[in-house]
Amino acid sequence: MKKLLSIGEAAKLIGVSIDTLRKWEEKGILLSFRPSKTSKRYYRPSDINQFLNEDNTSSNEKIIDLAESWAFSDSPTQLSKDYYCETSDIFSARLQHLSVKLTKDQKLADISPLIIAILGEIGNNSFNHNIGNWPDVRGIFFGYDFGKQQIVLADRGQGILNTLRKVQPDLNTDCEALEVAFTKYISARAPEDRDNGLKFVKDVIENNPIDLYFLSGNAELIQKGNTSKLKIEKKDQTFHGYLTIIKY
Amino acid sequence: MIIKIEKFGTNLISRPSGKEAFLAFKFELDQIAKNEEVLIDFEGVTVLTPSWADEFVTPIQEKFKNKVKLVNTENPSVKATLKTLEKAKEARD
Repeated sequence: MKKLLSIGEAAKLIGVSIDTLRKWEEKGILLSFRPSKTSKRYYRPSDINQFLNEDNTSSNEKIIDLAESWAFSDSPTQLSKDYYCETSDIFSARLQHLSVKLTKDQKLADISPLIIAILGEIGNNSFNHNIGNWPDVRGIFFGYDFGKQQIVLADRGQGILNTLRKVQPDLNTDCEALEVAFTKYISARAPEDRDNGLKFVKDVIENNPIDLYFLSGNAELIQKGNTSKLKIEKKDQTFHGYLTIIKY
Repeated sequence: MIIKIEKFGTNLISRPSGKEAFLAFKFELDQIAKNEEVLIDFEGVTVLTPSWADEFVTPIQEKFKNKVKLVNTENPSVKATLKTLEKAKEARD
């Protein structure tokens, strides 16, 4: 890649729409430049390469420990920008990095689109359901470790029970809420009510070698890859957001 | 009418971006006659989620009903997403 790239060419290389690149520019996620004030915007191939090859993994850091200490602490700790996605645009850009990296691994060809899809559903749920209502810190933790083949997402949002109570007020416990979120299709017609992301996650895990661990409030859910059974248990500790670990 | 999904991007993940794609396409959609066949082509899509598809595919299916045909759905995330949309539709009907 030597010549400058138009916004259309850059979008195609990264696999996102032109509108997404414009948004990333506004947020400072990936910058273009204009040779003169009146010219079109262009992208340097080196910037695109750097963007696609940035990595937030470090085998020395334990991403699960980092996520837990951030999500479980009474008052939020400072998170490294390598793991913290304050907005959905930053999450979307980081998910795109991961997608490019997983796609390069031929052994994962059958499951990498599904891994990205379930991460997209879980991560974007945080932003969609907590907008304007984050209890303390907005945004999510997003970390991955290729060596251990695990990916962690967490937030300090309202949790599954409080979110679901808006459409199903009779829910009482975190365990009930997880059961409903992962198994019951909502019959409402309004788009904001028909969120089926977690049912999708369950179906994907059921048919693929991907393990899921999901915590919200005081409830823990475990679903092993290629099985349909959800093991849901009440834990002694509680917190107000969610934390999920995906192993593949 | 053939709708090439790939022209909206290859990683189609969030609900807001699905909504944006639908709004951008609405003018062309409004030109389609009600009894015309609508082919939604997923060739070239790398990742699709139910959130994106629910904002783009579902309203087209609701408008054109059995005139909608889905093709090149081999990608595992496309396949799984379409299955989720079907289940959600069953729950609504």
